[in-house]
Amino acid sequence: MNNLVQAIFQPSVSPFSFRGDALHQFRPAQSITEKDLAVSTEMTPGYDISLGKDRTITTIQGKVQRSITYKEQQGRTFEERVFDALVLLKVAVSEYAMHLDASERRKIFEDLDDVLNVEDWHDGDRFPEIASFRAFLKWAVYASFREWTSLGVSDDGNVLLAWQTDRGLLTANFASTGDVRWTAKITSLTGVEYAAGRSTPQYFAKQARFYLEGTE
Amino acid sequence: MALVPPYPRPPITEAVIELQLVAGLSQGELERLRERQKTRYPTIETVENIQLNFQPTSIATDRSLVGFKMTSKNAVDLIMIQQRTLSSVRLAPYVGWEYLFEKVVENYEAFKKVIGRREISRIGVRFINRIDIPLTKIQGRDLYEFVKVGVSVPNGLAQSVGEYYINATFIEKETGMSVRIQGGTLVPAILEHASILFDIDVFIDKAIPTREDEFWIKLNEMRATKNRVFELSITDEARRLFQ
Repeated sequence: MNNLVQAIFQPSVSPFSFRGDALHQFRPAQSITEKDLAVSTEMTPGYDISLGKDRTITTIQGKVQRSITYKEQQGRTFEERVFDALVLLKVAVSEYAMHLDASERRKIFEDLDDVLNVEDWHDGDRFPEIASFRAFLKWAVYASFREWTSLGVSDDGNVLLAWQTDRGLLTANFASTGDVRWTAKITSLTGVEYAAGRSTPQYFAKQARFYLEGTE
Repeated sequence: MALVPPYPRPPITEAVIELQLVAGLSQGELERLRERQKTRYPTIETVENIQLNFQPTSIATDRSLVGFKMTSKNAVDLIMIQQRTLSSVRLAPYVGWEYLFEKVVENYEAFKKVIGRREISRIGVRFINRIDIPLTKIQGRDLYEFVKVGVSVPNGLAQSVGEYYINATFIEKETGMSVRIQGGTLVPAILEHASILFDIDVFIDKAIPTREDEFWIKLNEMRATKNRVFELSITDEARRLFQ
């Protein structure tokens, strides 16, 4: 059965990464059971699957045909891979483009060009996580609060934002799940105040407004 | 029907002009096209069909090249070169038909230079729209107040319509062109919004002009049909969302 797993999940087309409507919906398994093949059998009816007493598949007969889209990694230079990662992020911006002004979109593109370039990245560095970047974009559209001072990327690929204003400093780390971890340092009449939290993007929008503008 | 001026924030997520060929392209031709276009569309992805054939005691795998998806540096102009289709794609923000049309002509000229003129069996003008409606505007209201295409539930049965998906084809009244529309609810793309899919594919697969000037005129007519379908399918309430 392990050979079968490899045939499904690691066909002889490595190395590549899946995108879009591809085999990525399959998930790896140590041994195949009815449950493990649930997704694939749903997508490609016509299988004949026999199950043993322990619900482990004993035989499978049939055909699966899927179309996959992947980017050849072999032979790509580091510069080309950085460029591809940059394009992937810019393509993601297009999903929200109708909610962004041309100037806002340009600012995001310029920030991306600034952050993701061959001078500052090294072979082996983790590129920004696309899910984290989408979480940031969703938040930016929702919050209409886009005058960040800098955009960066954490070691684990999360998008980082920072605002530096007369009131203080606010930082945010956008997780792929949509949650935001944030810190704030503001100067008040009583001194310097510190705060930190982990919030939904909606709640973080309120926090950002409070810490940066003094309003909710 | 007069064309509505372009919207400042059109809901178009993807505009695709697809030319389908009578005879498929060979792997060599696909690769030559890829090489020709790689300066303008440098991010290249390969599309393959993978077939797994399960037998009681063995598994046979078969791979075949379908084509290439190529993205330009601006990340919003793409081409799809496949065995039977050549597509020019524009992602959001959509900046107008003239721009897209120019790209289609450019791509077609590049295609001709590499493999010559080929007989075309189908032309498709497909616009995928995603209409994002703030929850504050849609709560307690009917979707038909925004989009006139949807599902009908018998009176007295449902309190409100939730998730749905439709796929319908028809012949457009004025031009006789074929139209496929797909619509339905989507996972919300924006926080605190509902997202509605409205996908319009205007296509012809008969009497395709062979003269190039007539061919381009036909493409423009298809665009007008697409606009007509769109405008007749949405309400002023929806139009206000695109301002």
